[in-house]
Amino acid sequence: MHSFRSDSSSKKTDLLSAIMVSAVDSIIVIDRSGTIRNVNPATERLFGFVADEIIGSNIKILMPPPFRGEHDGYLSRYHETGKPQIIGIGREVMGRRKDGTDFPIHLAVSEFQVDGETHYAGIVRDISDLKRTQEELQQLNEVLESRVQERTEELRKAQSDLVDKEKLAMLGRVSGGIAHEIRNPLNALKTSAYFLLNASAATPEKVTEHLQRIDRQVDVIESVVTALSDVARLPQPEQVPCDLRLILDNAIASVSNLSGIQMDLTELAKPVMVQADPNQLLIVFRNLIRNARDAILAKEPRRQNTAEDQRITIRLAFAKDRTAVSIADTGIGIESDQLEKILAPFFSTKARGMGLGLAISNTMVQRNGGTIRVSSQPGQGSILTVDLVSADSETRR
Amino acid sequence: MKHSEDVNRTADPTPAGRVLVVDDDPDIVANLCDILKDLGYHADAATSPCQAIQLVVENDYDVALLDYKMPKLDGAALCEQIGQRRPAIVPIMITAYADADGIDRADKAGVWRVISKPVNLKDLIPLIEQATRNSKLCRSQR
Repeated sequence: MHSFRSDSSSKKTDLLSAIMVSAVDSIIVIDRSGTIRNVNPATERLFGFVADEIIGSNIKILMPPPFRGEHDGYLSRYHETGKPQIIGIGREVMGRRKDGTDFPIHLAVSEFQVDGETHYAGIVRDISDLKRTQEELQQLNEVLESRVQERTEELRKAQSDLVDKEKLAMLGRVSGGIAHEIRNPLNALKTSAYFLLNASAATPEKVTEHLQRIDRQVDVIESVVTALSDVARLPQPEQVPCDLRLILDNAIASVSNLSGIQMDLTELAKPVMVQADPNQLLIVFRNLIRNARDAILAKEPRRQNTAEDQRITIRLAFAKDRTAVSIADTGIGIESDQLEKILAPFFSTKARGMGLGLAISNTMVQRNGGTIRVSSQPGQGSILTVDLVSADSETRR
Repeated sequence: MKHSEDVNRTADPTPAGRVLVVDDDPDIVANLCDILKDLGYHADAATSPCQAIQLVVENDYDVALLDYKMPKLDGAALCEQIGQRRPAIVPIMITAYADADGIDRADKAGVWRVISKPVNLKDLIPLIEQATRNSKLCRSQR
């Protein structure tokens, strides 16, 4: 290279010289005071100086502030402490071209002695492209990040809208159900009252009939209100050993309008004891038997050939410490898409029903350590199985 | 007869209207039938859509009072079925709760009036009278 000292024709020197000249990266040699002693052609290309313009100048000429002001300090600190900040390490700094523009560089500095004099060789690589790419990448990352945040926010909002919508839909179903359940008995009350007040030819029998109807319909409203308050605060169960057989008998007796339906309940020699709240079990089985009845009565008459076809079958099964009661009906059954919702509150397949019976029953059974399973064949009937904790096993523990 | 003064019973003295009352609550149909019979109407009760259709096949009516929410077949669908068999019957829908869709379907099914439960008989009775007149007029023009 032009100003690089080459003393002889020794091959080694030629080789080093060739490397210096052909290097892609800029190579700058300075002495202890920071004076530039040698540069290669790549340095000229990179910084826009001709070699002669900078050789003999302080290296600071190639640096923008704050590096420019601090470079003397770097050197003297190194000379005093011997602790390198950059020598042998390399770091990213800024360079300044002849035209005053700055650009990012990677600088690696090595130290060497020539004729007992300390020199430093800096290898400088322009990392403008790398930096630009990094910045682009960073920006893309930020854009991506903000998009992810946007999408997350959209999703969160959609989810919350959905919950609100679902809540509203639920509220609609609830109020519709309640309205229907209460307006019907109110309608009966109002029409009976009208008859009693206005009828021109009301026999004493008719009067009694209407008063009984009023009494009955008040009970209907009462039961709606009871169901609602049951939901509002489902009492904690008081679990005691209780006779399932007795509870089933009472439940069957408490369900009206079973006259046309055959009730098939296995005869049992001795009591079947389960660990549960007997009052809650009575509500549960009363609800299930009532549902079975309604499913049977909802069938079109022409599809019920004989009374044989109208049947509720109740069976008991025992496994380890569990007792299962299955209640099978020959009713209309439950469509498969409704099967999963059947235990949910305010869902009903009946024309008249608030959709609370099964939901309350399910909650009660769960609180008593049991489960309710539902299976159904549309048009054929449904089987509801209540799985309970046997009392014998409970006492054995 | 001490029925409400606003009920104009002189407009159509003869013959008495024939009314079919459909509701799945037996108490409600019994009450409406008692009231209508007391007013001199011929009233039949049906507690299911099936029974209602059977009665319509066997008998002619001027007016049908239909509950909206019933198992299997709702009031709108029942109204269509009745209209196909006896187009002169004037259907009146009585509903405890019907959403916009229900009202819309009732309209399309040809329901003449929709009234809500609990019914105000001071409103319903004049409607039944007018419906009876409409039905008889419809028949006389055929």
